[in-house]
Amino acid sequence: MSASDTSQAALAGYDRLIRRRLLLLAVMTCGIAISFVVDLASGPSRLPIADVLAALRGTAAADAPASIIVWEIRLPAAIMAILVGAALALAGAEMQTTLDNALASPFTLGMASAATFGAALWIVAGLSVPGIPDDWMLPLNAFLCALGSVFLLQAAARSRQAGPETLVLFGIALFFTFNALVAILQFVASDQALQQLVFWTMGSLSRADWTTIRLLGLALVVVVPFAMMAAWKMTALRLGDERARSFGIDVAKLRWYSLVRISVLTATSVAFVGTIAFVGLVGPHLARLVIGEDHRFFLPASMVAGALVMSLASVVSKTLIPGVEIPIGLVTALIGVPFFVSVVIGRRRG
Amino acid sequence: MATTVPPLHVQNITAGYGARTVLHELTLPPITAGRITALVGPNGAGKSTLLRVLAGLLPARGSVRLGEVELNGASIDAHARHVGFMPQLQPQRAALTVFESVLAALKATPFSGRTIDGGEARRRAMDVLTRVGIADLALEPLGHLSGGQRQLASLAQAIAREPDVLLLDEPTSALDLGHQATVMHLVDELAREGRIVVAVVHDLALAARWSGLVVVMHRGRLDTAGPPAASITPDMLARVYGVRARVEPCSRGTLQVIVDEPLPHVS
Repeated sequence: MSASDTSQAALAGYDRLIRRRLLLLAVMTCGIAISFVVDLASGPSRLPIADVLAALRGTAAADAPASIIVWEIRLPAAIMAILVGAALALAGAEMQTTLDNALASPFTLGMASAATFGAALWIVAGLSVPGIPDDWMLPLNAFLCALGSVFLLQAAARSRQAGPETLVLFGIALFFTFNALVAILQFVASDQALQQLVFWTMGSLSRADWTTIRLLGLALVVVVPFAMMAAWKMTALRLGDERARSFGIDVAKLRWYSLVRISVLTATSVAFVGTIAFVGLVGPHLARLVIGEDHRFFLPASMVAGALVMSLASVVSKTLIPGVEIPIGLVTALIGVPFFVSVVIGRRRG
Repeated sequence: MATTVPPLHVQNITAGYGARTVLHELTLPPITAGRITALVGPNGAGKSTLLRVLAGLLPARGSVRLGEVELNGASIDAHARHVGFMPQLQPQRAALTVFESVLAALKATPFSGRTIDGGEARRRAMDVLTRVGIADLALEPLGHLSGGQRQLASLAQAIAREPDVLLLDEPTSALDLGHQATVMHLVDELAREGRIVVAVVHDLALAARWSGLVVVMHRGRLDTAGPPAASITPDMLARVYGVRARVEPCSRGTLQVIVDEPLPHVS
């Protein structure tokens, strides 16, 4: 084969690769649609599927129990599952690239601990920002503390050219610090406050409503375009810091903006649904497995995979024990732990 | 390349890591395009540090001038316009194909001052892979490549942006004889087209065979610089490497270094 034949064949092969990736994305998106419908149809109240559909179409009376259950409980929770899955998986994908560590997740650098601390400040000590309605105190506190932890991280890391190791080190320090602060608050908390805090940390979609959906949706709409604009730079970062800099990329700046995106997505998600473990780890891993790390495809695939996993987890949380809805954070952790272990073992073998 | 690149002037470079100074007021003779410049010296002599200063990856005092353009202290962006860098270590875990890695080099930042479209990037990337002789590996994941193939893929990433100055950190380390020759031949061609090529080379026989200028570094300072025959000498080997050695031309005239024994430690 001549050189031009070889390169023509390679370009054609690349086109096929791109088409295959787009097809995979489409298939996973269909998977989300199916899971979404099943999610709507399942729940402790055992509505017949016909009633669910009638409520969705609006043919049932607006004050019928089916309408209220579907529109006020199931639909917000099902949509929230998809949004949270997408947000946390995107944050996880960016975190894994930024830290050059396949075991990183949005919670790696202590963001979840910081958010929990924020929640504890309100639940236990009643501390928050003045002038905000009580209903919003908890998510706002969680959001501010998660965001604050990232700024602390950056401030600490800024003094040097912060590589991945420095960031992880500071992140671990923050993790332990916030955990200790939460423990102190737990120590002084009343029984009632303690119970509320523990339940919050489990993570649950039952807190979803149309307002929180809009806010998380808005966060995604704002963040995703910036993430996609940085896709080529993030891909180049996979080739190593020095290589990326030799391509003209300001790696420190790239990391900083990536961390800002991660913190907005993570803090918003955690604020509304509590700590949901491992979606941010599993989503990017599935995406990497089937699509690879060209971030033009890797980032959307992570979001789709994360949304699919969360939606399925939501179904499982309602059907595992009939009549009982298990907090979804527990379900993702139970799926996530075996997955995490298999990744580590697979890596050792590889 | 249409025009020959002006010489690279390295003057009074002082650099290091934190409180540890590695390069002390280093000045080199002008580095010209056309032939490979080999940076040699024992471990810890500052070769890689110098290369990183030239690549703009490590801040330094002093001057690195390409013709009239001062590169030391210039922006990352300005460096990337002139300088291509091939690090010693290649990523092992990136789930990218060879083709994607070269595409990323072209698309990560504006190339030649403009953002090139997808079609042009693909064409250029494929040209680079053909040039390096690995077009058939375009769709292989980086992680599946052998050591030699990985080195060629890395070279493709470094030359994709058509740099005037190509900096290579041990391009042939851990390669077998055949791949060493392939890589050095390719790098020699790139130099002869009118680029400045500076390569850290450990193997003095390779330096003698392929380079026009050998820069010998020792403890962060310049020891000797000149054509291979003038710089690779028994005296230099004793002084810099601490070995008793012979330097003898082979039947085709290329210098060979034969090490007889280590010298007793003086310092």
